[in-house]
Amino acid sequence: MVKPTRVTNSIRALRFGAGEMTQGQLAERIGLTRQTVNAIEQGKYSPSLEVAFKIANVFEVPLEKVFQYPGQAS
Amino acid sequence: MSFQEKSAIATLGGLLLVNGAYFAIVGRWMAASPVNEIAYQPLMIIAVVALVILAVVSHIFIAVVNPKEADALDERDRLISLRGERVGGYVLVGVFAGLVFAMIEVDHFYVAQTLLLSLVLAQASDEASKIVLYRRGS
Repeated sequence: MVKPTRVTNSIRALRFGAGEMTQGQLAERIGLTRQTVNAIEQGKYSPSLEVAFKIANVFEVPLEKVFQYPGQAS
Repeated sequence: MSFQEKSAIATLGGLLLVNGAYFAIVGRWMAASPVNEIAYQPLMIIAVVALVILAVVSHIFIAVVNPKEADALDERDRLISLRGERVGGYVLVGVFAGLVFAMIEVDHFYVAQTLLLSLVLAQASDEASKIVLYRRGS
């Protein structure tokens, strides 16, 4: 029924690299619920492009450092 | 669990509880007397009012337990809500059965029960879909 997303992400590693930022703290900064940040991290939800950029901005890295897609040249 | 997911569970629970009781009582009345003698109207009104009260009380409770998350709604919640409503929309075609019953002049008892049942099933499948989407991913 629901097809799992093929997008993978490095949010968990980026959070730990950013002074062990919690899911809640990240959620608050980009205007999501903590549960949605958790769903994104677990690959259960692909966020909108806007939210993807917001996450990259929080960690001050390019989008490809946060999200990866199979076949992507990096 | 987010506020919206808890809200879906509370709404579904209330729906099943109140309408389960309603249809159980009406079912017993149907077994006891002919349908044109059953005064179902007061019980139906009580069920609808009870459902509203239960929804308000359960949402107040959920909000009080975790006030910080109360009413939080983001893009994933909105997407899940839309998908749930779409499923509910499909199930809502059951009201046409009520319309047909009205057209062929079946006793209004059956028309009313069919309409209520369709509305309940549509709402229940909406909430159940939301719960599944929150759990399995969307």
